[in-house]
Amino acid sequence: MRNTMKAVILLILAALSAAGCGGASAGESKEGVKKIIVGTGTQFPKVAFIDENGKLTGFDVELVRELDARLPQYEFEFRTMDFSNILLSLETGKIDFGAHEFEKNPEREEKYLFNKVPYAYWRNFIVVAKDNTDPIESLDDMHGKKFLATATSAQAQILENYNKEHPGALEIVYNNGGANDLVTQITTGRVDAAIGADFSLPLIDPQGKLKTVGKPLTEAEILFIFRKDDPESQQLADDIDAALLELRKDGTLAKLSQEWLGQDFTYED
Amino acid sequence: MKLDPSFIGEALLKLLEALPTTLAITAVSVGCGFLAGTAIALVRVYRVPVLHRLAAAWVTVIRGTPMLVHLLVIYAGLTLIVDTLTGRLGLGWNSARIPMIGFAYLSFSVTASAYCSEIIRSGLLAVDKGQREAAQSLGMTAMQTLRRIIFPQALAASVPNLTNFVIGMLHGSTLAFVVSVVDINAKAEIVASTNWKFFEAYLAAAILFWAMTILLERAGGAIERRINRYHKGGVA
Repeated sequence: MRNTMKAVILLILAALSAAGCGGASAGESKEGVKKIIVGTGTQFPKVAFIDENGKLTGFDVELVRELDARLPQYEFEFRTMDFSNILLSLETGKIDFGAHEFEKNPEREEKYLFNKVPYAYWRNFIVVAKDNTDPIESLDDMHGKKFLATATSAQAQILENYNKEHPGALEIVYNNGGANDLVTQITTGRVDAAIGADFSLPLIDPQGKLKTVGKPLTEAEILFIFRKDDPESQQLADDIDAALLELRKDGTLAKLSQEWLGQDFTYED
Repeated sequence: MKLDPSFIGEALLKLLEALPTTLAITAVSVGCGFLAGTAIALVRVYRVPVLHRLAAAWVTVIRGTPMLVHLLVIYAGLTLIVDTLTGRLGLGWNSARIPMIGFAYLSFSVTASAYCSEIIRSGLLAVDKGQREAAQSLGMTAMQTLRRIIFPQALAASVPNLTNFVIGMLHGSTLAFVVSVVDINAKAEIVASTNWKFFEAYLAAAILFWAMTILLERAGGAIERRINRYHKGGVA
């Protein structure tokens, strides 16, 4: 028994010390060129994923590579990890910034630094079946209708907020997203609608059985995410902003969006 | 990390709304699973020609795949089959007529039937062969032997395992949220999404599940004592 306890303590200590090692390897490599570690994932189709040749690519990845080419004072190197680990790695200094379609929101702004020039915009729309011909402009036209929403998602939040102002107006059907049945539920009429980003709709509905209607309900800015209260991070963010403005001006940004996402998501409404 | 004990109580009250759903799923799946499982066990123990091979195959396939997979396969498969059939026949309705909880009832009953059949089979095997021989020598028919002699003893031997199984199904019913059925655990998630106090909400769910489990353990114990009364006294 005592030996078991010793083993357990040893294991915990080993895990702790392993976690403590290996900070960011950011530093000068070549003369005047600063090495920057960029955190991203591999599970986001069209944004950050491994292609059939085993190469990391996608909209965010190629955008960062383009920025790297325009910023001679930096050398960017990717480090891939689980999405949920990116922010933690940023805090612990294992990476210098994160590129994974990070949406700006007040909670994140409190803890992290964002650059200022968004490289994409996510808009949430009402999503209905393709053959739905009801005149739908906003949630006001959806009273009494059933919405499918994944519990705790941003989309559920939009519906809940609306119901807070209009008690009982929308019927929210919750699930946990495990069955990937959004398209089936809407096309069979089990629910009437859902909230979805125009950006991700082609991913969940490749056959185009659904459509977005009305005006965007919300619009979120997509930015890179940096460590807060760190002068070097601030400098990096500013440099990236300058390069992003250039990319936006010469049309490279829109072209990348067209190429990877099939549509230009880089302008503001 | 700060704990908000008052929200645990508040969440607990809200979770009670989902209690009937959890209980219904558990009761239906255990009930159907018990009936089907008994049939499967009898077929296997008495080696009914052809059927006992089918029953063995059923048990190994169902036990060999996770409960969540049963739910997903039945949900997606049944929806597809029903929609194709009704579309071909032009009936003018589709799978949306089947309530979501129906998929949970069906798939969890399937899961339960395989596990339950093994519990009952072990109970049947625990009854001494001499019991049947004695019953037959008294002139009882096969059915009478089964009903009066074998089954009561087999069931008594199975009670502890059955209690365990019911508890397992109770906890397994949380999977139903995959098909939009709001059980206790799902309710906890929904309740917490308004204020992000997930820990408190999950604790409330845990308390509720634990309370139900204690009741089940007690009930199991009581049934065990009652059903084993025949052991007391007399000639053993």
